[in-house]
Amino acid sequence: MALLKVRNLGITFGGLKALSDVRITVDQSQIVGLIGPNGAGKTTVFNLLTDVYSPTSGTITLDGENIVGQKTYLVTKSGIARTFQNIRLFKNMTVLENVMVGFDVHMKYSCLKGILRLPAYWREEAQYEQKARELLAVFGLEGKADTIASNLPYGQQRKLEIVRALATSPKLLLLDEPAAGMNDTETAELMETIRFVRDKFQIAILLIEHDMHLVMGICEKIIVLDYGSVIAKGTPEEIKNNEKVIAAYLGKGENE
Amino acid sequence: MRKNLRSYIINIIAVVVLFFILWGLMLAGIIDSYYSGILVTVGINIILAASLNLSTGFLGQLVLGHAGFMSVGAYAAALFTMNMPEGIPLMVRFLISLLVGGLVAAIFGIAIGIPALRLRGDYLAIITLGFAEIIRVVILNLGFTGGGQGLKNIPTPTDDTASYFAIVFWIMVLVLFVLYSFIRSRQGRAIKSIRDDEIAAESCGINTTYYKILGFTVSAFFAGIAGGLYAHYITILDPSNFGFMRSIEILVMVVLGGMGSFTGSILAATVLTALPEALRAFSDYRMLIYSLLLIVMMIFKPSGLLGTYEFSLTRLLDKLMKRVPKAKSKSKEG
Repeated sequence: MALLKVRNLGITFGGLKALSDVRITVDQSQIVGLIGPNGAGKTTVFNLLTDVYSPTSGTITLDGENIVGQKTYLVTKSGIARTFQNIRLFKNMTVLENVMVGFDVHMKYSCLKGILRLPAYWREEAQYEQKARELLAVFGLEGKADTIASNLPYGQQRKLEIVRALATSPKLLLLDEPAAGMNDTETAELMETIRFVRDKFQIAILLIEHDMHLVMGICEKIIVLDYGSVIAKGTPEEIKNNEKVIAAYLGKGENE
Repeated sequence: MRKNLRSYIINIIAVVVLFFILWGLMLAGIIDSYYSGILVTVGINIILAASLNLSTGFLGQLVLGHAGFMSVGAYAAALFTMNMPEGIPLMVRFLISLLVGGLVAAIFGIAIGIPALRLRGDYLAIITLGFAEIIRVVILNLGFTGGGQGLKNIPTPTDDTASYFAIVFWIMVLVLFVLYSFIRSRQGRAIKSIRDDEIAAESCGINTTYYKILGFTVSAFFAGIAGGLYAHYITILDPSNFGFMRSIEILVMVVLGGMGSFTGSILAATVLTALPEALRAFSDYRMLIYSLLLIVMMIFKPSGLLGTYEFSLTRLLDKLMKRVPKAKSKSKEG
């Protein structure tokens, strides 16, 4: 069953058509890769999915619910969480606090109850702190709970961003170049993590990545963007042999 | 939970002990009324610095108009006390008027915050500065505020400086407790996350517009309360007391103490209020010393004295008693 349906999506910045007629379908707990040369519009797709920009045309539905024109924080509440190309953590806050901000969408106690420290405050804080610690433990970060986020090594910062996104209980997780700046060992570990996240939390993942080894290794479906339009979609095998994709990446031979 | 209880008890004992030492010294005449007056100002400045720290240090929005909110609170509270029926005991009128001062300042906070918080950084600083000046000029030209001649004969709940100190002290403790609890709740966490990365906060499901206005309003509310305390202590209000320099003075306390540390604000407000009095002879050079202090600070410790670190009495005691310090039991010092 389709979880995310993007139809006819387009956006123009001034006279520039950044995206046109983009069509993406992501099924429940499917891992989909979004690839394409630099400037193809991949991150723009993410920004449209999370309503950072409003599309000029087209529809986006998540679980049958239209999310175009909503506020970004409401999109998160309806089930899309994301990570960023250049890591965006809450740098001066502890690892635990970072995850607790993610859990905020589930917490309910009011401002007054928090200030007066009524039972609801203690109960919810304890409950979600427990959950946050469990989630950190799943990713081997339990020992770092009280570390300031900016003091984590790079690979763990990437992981923490994923943990924070998972804390919002998304149905769909968007990963923007999760392997950027990682070496082969770290990338291999990341592939395991992504698969593990999908299996454990039963969520769909849409990822942008330049590392073809990772993309071909874990994606069940790949969508290729070039100059703002989808030029191919299919299984890794199909994409590897697709001439249009090869042309987009390597250029066309002169005598073809 | 037990750990928190222990932490509360330690801090309550510390605050009570501190109060009775100062109070006792005042009653014994060792701290004369001149010095108790300075302590009253210290208390008011701590409230101002801590409340500005909420919007500047924790929310990360550079606000240059804190004196504006203070003046709104001061005038609202003073006018309220003066115009309430005489039959009500002065103390009751005073306490209600403080609350009224805070609420009126909070309303101004919402009204200014909604348009102003669309901007950030320098632009927000300029627009808040502008609003504070507008408030000052309007007060200067209105009839019922006394205009340039000032609002005179504000009744004070007690003529005794030591008793007024007691009032200020406990209100200050209450304000600090509220601010501290606020910043350690989920709302406070949301506010800190906006400071660190607004885009990431929004994508974590935080309604950033709402929390920015909330933080700004709470900050204005307590500035209003500080204004009310100031009005009933000074008993005469003059718009020129709430100019640009007053806002800067408060901001200097926040920056010096550490953006994002209430204990830092307490420390800086105390030092920066007491120091000019101690250096009475050099009072002409106060602003010069301020600027030098700031420059030195920016070069050697740009995050302020304490940075985002909160001093914790509980942790200190744990260390002294050679226990394993646990970062969880952070707490405030009164």
